[in-house]
Amino acid sequence: MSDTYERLVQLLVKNFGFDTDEVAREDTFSKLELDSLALVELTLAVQQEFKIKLTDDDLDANDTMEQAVKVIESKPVVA
Amino acid sequence: MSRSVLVTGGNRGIGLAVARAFAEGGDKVAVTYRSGDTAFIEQAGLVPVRCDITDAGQVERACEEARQRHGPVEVLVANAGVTRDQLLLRMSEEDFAGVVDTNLTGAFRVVRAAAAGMLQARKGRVVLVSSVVGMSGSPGQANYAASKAGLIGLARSLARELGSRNITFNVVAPGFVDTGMTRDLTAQQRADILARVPLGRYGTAEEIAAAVRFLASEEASYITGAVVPVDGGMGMGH
Ligand SMILES: NC(=O)c1ccc[n+]([C@@H]2O[C@H](COP(=O)([O-])OP(=O)(O)OC[C@H]3O[C@@H](n4cnc5c(N)ncnc54)[C@H](OP(=O)(O)O)[C@@H]3O)[C@@H](O)[C@H]2O)c1
Repeated sequence: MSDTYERLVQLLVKNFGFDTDEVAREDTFSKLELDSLALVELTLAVQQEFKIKLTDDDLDANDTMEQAVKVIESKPVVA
Repeated sequence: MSRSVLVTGGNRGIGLAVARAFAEGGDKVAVTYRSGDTAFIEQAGLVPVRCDITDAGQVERACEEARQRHGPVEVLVANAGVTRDQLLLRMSEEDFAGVVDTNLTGAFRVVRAAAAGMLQARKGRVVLVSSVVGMSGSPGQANYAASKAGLIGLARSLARELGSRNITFNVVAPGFVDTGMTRDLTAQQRADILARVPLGRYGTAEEIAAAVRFLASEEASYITGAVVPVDGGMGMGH
């Protein structure tokens, strides 16, 4: 089983001060109160953590964590 | 504390004085240059990175080079600028757009390129070099003054946008300083300018550099969106 979800949660913990148990798979980013700037920051952090390239709207405020995991896993790793 | 500093147009004039001031304070400083000899830059303890700020790709690469040498840019000084003075009816659209492209869009390009690293670090200092004429206006400088006024709107928007991430944006507005930019003025123009400066003299590049360095310092941590004139009093009231 992949650990993408857990790693994504860790990014939220590290960058935005969440506790691990405050985040659930079905939560959307807007429910987690990540604003547009925070989504830009999360996009940067995800690119670095997973060594992938995301477009500006790959992570959307209305996406759930589960959907974000699918987006991340669909991207090829860049060197 | 030694920070990674990038100064555009840091190879001569005000930019060089700014770069030197940071280097003297112990920071690691990269400066952009377009062409020519870089030996004297290296002798001054500065790292030259080749970059024309009208080219977004070159700007990205310059930031990347600075990052590889010194770590992500923590202090950015957007200083590169040009004049192309002309009376309105003789000013071509090219004259106007070219000056805006270098002075305003160029600043936007380099700020954007450096911002990702600052966001991730949750700290950053950006100083934009404007001009007294950005606020007072100046005949024959519609293009230049418009670009310099634009920098204030740029800085203040970004001060609001990124303040929550501990990134400050400030503007320094120099008056007249003896550099390549002002060398072509006639004796009469110089006398006219001096008559409007309460301190009665031109400024030095080092006096501009001191304000830039202060705005990037720890002491200035609660200053953002400010326009700091360093103009001998010439622009008072604006
Ligand atoms: N001198 C004054 O009285 C005065 C007053 C108010 C504001 N300022 C502002 O202070 C800043 C510095 O001016 P200065 O007096 O030091 O002028 P300067 O001696 O003419 O230097 C201009 C600098 O900008 C760089 N530059 C111009 N176009 C560029 C481009 N497309 N890409 C990369 N670099 C470029 C030049 O690099 P190259 O060597 O490659 O040409 C040079 O390093 C400017 O923004 C100017 O508007 C100056």
